[in-house]
Amino acid sequence: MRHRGRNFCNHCGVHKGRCRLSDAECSKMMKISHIHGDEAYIRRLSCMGILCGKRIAILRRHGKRGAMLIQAGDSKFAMDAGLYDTIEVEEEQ
Amino acid sequence: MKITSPNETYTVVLAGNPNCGKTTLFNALTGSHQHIGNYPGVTVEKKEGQLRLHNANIRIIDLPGMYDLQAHSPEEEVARNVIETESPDLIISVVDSSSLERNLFLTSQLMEKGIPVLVVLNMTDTAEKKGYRIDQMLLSEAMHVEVVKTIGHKNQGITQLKEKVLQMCQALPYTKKKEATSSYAVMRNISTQTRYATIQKWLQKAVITVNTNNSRFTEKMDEVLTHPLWGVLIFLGLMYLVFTLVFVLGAPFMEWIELFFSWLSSLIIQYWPASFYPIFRSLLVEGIIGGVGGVIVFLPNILLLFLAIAFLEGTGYMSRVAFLMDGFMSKLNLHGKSIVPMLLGFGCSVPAIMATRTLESKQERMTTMMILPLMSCGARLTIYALLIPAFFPSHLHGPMLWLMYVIGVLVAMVAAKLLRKTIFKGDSVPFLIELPEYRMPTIKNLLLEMWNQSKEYLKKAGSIILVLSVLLWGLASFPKIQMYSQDYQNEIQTVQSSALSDVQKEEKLHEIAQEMQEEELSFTYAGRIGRFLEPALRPIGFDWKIGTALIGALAAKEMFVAQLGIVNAVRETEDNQVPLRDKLRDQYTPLVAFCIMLFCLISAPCVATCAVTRRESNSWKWALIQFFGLTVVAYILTFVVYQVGSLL
Repeated sequence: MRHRGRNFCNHCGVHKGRCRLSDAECSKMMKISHIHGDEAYIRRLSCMGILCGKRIAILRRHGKRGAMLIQAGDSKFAMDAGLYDTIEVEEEQ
Repeated sequence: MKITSPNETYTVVLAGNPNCGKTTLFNALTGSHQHIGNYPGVTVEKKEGQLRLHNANIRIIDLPGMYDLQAHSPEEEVARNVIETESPDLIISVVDSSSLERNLFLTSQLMEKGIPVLVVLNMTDTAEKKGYRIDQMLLSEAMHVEVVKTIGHKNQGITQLKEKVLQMCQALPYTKKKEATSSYAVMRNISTQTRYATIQKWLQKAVITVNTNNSRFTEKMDEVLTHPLWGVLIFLGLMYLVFTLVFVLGAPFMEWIELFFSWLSSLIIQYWPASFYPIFRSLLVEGIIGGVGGVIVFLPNILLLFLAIAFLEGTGYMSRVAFLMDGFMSKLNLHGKSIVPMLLGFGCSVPAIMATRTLESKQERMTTMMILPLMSCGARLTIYALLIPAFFPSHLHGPMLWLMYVIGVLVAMVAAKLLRKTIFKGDSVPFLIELPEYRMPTIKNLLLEMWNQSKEYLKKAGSIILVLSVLLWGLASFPKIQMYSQDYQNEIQTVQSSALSDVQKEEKLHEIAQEMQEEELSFTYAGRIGRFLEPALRPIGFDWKIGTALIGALAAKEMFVAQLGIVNAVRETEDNQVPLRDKLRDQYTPLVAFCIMLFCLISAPCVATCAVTRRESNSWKWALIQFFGLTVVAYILTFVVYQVGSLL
């Protein structure tokens, strides 16, 4: 992603005041090991293979509220940004 | 190939992830024209069609998309129940070849159901563009199932698919026996991670990935179209462009149709003597041409609107809009996915209400359902298309139309917030939607989608609107007045024998004729109903004629235009063939016109919408609350606008 100036994230392009991801988190693929929160929803994400055990890349994030774009496996999804707080990252590449 | 005996019938279901092309294949197999689009959740109920091959009847069922066999939303429940209860002979597992890993997850679950499975690798062209080279034979060997490659939208591989379906159906007893000992039965009750590990093994054998830059097109488009600022501005700009084009491009065609109906009316009046069955002449000219013709005039606008919606649906932009609007929607306690039914509502509320089945939370679904009639549907467009050019200068046509749509959206937002805070309280379900690759819809599909939707409009004009037009013409024509309050004939003679100039005489005679027509109309049933309603409608600027038109609009919004056409055409003389717009301009002000549009936008939805709300909510209560609640809100808002506007 283009460099937009020091106050903006180099990867998702969001102003650093709004984007809570570090450069490393934003640029690298992450493997999600666990999601905290609503059990039924976690089961759903897990069954869909979107998050659990999947490497995901965060492509764009719109601040604290609203959705963020992720690349999960071979598919692209928009995911509730609030879910990021409930994600545990197992490893980084 | 074995020839089956006549009347042999098989049931085959098309199952797969959302947006993998099931309905496109269904249309290709059965020759149907079901609605398709490039976003998840287009099909929300099962569709059935027939395929006849070599004396075999194959009943094909198209299911809504699902990611797994655990149903999480109403439309996924529909899909799961069909597989569980209909006992199909064969499951066609349609997979998007460009996202095989995710799509084969459901296939692996379907393979455990004890029903033969045929895997269809659809969208292989997109997969190749993304750099995936799939070996069909190797995949078939690895999975122990039959595999067919197709490109649904290009009709490629359909013949092979049909042959394979028939072949598998005919081999049913053998296949079923084989299933009991096959390797995929072992996969039951395994964990998600193990399931994915198995899928990986299949793909390692059968798929080669080569580097390609083609998928970067979607990435580049998304950089702009999903940008928090540019994305929203582009979305608003696109909506503005659509509404402006609907008017600008539609205007000349509208005029041609209008001219055609005027010419037709004049022709009938000219060659049908007034003394020969005058009732039928009046019914044809004033009732049918005035009513149905008045609605058909707006067909070009409707065609253009549906073309624009079909284009947005076909490209994959809808999912991006859901993503862009999620933050904003969450402020209204609504789900980002709610935006998809709301956009569909610009076409027609009925499919839009059904599209709410994609929402998992009942509260969010009910809220979306209740506010959907506030999205200006195609039927309301006929009202705007009649009034905006009649009362506003041409440079304001586009902005006025855009304003009407924006008002609907704003009122819907306020209503959603209130409903979520009061009646439909509850937590929101986290947002999750797939973003498909951008695709350029084919011209054939666009035209087909546009025609299918517009056909409904024409069907409505030829059925319900025709019947209601005849009924409303009867109400506006009978009973005939026997005794006038004034001696108009005497007044006419006095004017004719006066010393006034010819121009003054003509004006005076025109005034008398108008008074006479008013009295005749107000004596009819329509006039009496209108007069009864008038005291309640006066505070919002409406007269009794608008009142009668509003009653017609309850059945279908287009009837408002038809009824105005009838009321203004009845007792029209041969030399008084003036377009409806000009007649309205003489009777009302731009403020009244705006109030009519506002009231029609917000007030009670049509009967079809109420019926589908009842069915989807499973309760008359919500249909009635929607009906009366929206009418009350419409009355209050129109009252404020009219009273404040009158003071300015």
